[in-house]
Amino acid sequence: MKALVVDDEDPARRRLARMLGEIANVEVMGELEDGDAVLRALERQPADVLFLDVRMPGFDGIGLAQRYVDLPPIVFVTAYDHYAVSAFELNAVDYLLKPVRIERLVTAVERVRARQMTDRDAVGRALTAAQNADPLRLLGSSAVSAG
Amino acid sequence: MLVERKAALEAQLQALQARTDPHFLFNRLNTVASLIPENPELAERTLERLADLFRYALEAGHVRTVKLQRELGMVADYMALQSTRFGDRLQTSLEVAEGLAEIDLPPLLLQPLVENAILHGVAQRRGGSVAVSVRRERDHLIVEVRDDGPGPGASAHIGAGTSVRSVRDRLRLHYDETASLSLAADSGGGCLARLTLPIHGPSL
Repeated sequence: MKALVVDDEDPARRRLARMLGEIANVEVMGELEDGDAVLRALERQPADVLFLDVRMPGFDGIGLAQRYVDLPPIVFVTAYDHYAVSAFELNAVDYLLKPVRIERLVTAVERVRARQMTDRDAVGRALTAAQNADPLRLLGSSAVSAG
Repeated sequence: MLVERKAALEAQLQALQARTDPHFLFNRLNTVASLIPENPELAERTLERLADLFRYALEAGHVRTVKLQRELGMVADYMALQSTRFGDRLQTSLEVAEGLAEIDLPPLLLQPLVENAILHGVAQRRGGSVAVSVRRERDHLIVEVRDDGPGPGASAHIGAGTSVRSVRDRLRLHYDETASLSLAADSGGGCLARLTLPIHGPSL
């Protein structure tokens, strides 16, 4: 699982990256300071999950998630629980309070994995539905069923 | 005297609220947690500074004045704490002319100005600098807090207005009209807050 860690505070960023590095099958692709850097990084290489601080200069985590719907799954990380409602309205995978405990971080990673599988299933079902909606296929299948 | 006491208690309350503000508190605990394996000495110093800032805020409600040295020590701790968050991105400096350490002034007058400078001058951008200078001009103590941020009025920082107002209220209560706080654009861009205090104490 490729992770990007985004926080404008150096020690906070380093700590989260260090802890994620201790979790099996998680690779920290980058540590970034603000929302603009996130968008640039995602253009270069896709990520499986964003760990986003909620308050950063210029472009806060919630604002970023609201503006760009094509972002990978998001786990918000913050000192303050005031933003919890907005985070879940934005369909964030999880919401972690600083200082984060490793057990809680492991749970968040597991939720990201579960979300990835759900998304893959959802994509699969959507593709199947799209194929079934194809008029030529409908003709074909009615021809088959007529035969 | 009662009104001044009330204003001092309000300043104490604001300082305590700032110190126990969830963002500040949990972010600083997180900073210490991060530093413990990386830099244990800095982690210890950070905890010491945090404890001293809390202690100072608690004391401020019980005294009418403190020595300038004490207030400046607290400002230095506060700036050091903020520097650990931003590393090289935040530059701070504190320059104090000789012979001023024993001057009396109400506590927590400087700290809101420095906090404003850091929060609205620097934290909303990638980084910047905050410079505090303290000097004497004849019978007045001049304290200047400069940041190189967007300048007064240009920032989205909420709360800057409240703390400036409360500093002005306390100045009026302690010094009548003989002290002042001005906030204006600095010559090189950014913001300059200038506190002017009569050195020989409040007008009686």
